[in-house]
Amino acid sequence: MKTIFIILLMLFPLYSQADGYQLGRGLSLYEKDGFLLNLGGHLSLRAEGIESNNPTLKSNIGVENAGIMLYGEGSKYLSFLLEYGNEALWNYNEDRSETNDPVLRRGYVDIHLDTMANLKLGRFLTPIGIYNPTYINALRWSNIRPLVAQNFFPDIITGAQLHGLLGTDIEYAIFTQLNDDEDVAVSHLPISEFSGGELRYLFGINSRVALNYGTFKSNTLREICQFGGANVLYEWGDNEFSSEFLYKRGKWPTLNTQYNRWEDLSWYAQYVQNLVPQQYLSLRVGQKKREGEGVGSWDEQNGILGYIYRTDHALSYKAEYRYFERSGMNAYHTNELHLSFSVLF
Amino acid sequence: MQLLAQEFVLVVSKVCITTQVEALQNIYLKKEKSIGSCQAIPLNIQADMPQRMFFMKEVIHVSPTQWNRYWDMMHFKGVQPPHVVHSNQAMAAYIQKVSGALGYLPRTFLEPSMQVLATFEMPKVSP
Repeated sequence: MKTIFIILLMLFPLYSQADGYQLGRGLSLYEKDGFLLNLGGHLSLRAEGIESNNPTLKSNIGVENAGIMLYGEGSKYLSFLLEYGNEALWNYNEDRSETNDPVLRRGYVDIHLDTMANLKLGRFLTPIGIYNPTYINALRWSNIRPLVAQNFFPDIITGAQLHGLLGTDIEYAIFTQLNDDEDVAVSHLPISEFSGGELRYLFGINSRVALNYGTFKSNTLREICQFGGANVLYEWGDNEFSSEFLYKRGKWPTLNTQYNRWEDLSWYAQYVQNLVPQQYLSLRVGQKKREGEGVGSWDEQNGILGYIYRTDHALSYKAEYRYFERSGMNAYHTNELHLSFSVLF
Repeated sequence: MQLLAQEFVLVVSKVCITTQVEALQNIYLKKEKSIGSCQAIPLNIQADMPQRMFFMKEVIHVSPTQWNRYWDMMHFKGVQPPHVVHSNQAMAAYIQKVSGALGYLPRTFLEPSMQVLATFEMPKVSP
């Protein structure tokens, strides 16, 4: 499967010449009378220069994420999506080269019962936040995953999701896990008993404000967690502001029936401005901190200044500087330069 | 140079009931897939046609940049944008043939079987 995956990715320049192909929209394999089948994918290449007092952090290059997607609509009642790929498929620094095999990242059917109720069954991205549902580099303004989206909650779930539109401007999504998915090859967090939801008010095509809640358990990481938060995205003219906030409480029983407990808090605020056609400036600040009993406490903060050049809406080059500092347990800091090329095809 | 008004209409095929103009944004964003019991199939004309730009701005209330960004995200989520036709003739033929098809046309392309949902006036620049 890995070989087939690489071949399909490398054949992209060929099928991009086919009739029915559009960059950022994929290749239409079949479309008639509301039935359609589409092939697409994404690719991101990245280089990171890192200066740090943490000797384990090295400058590196690699394939940040890549995937092949096949999706379609069989009728007004049924659609499906399959995505085969992964993050960090290949990474190289002066000490070592690492690879991650492509896996079935997403695979689900979506049953349209009504505008207010759609049932999604299978493996899908956790529908919480702004970042997580559209995490790939090609859809982001930044090369760097915000701290709030770094292992704060499980990014992928295998289960069931009920989602829909209430009226014209309220969206909801509620979900529950239907397996014990302690498979780190697929998700950043090995988890079980994950459930939650998000309620969103939409006041523009991309603008929204939302509240969310979730709970999960991880036997591998020894966590029982509940989290809740809010997020906002607002577009006006050539500007975009986005922010996410999450609070999490975790615990795990110790040998003498007591619990280790901790509280995590994370947020970011990001501003993007379209300077001139195709060129953008981004600014982001963020924090992630832990206060623990029986576990260590730490506080991570970062600031990012970035430049984005979109030759096409689905193809971009990004360059960013980030300052990162961690205080408390395992303290260190970094100065980083991130460069990337990404495409949604 | 003289500005003339050219009338455009919003139509839905004969099978489906009408819907509110305000709901059109959600139909064109494919957040609503049906009108009553009928599958709603929104149509766009190709992007460089002035009626497309007018319709997106004045009826759907989105800019081209917002539209592209939205459909990039939806492609990743497995949803395709509205089907694009290349002429008024093709739009009229699709609406007549496909149940639930919804699009926008000059009044001169209307057929008796088409229901008119709303009428808009688009400024037209004559040489």
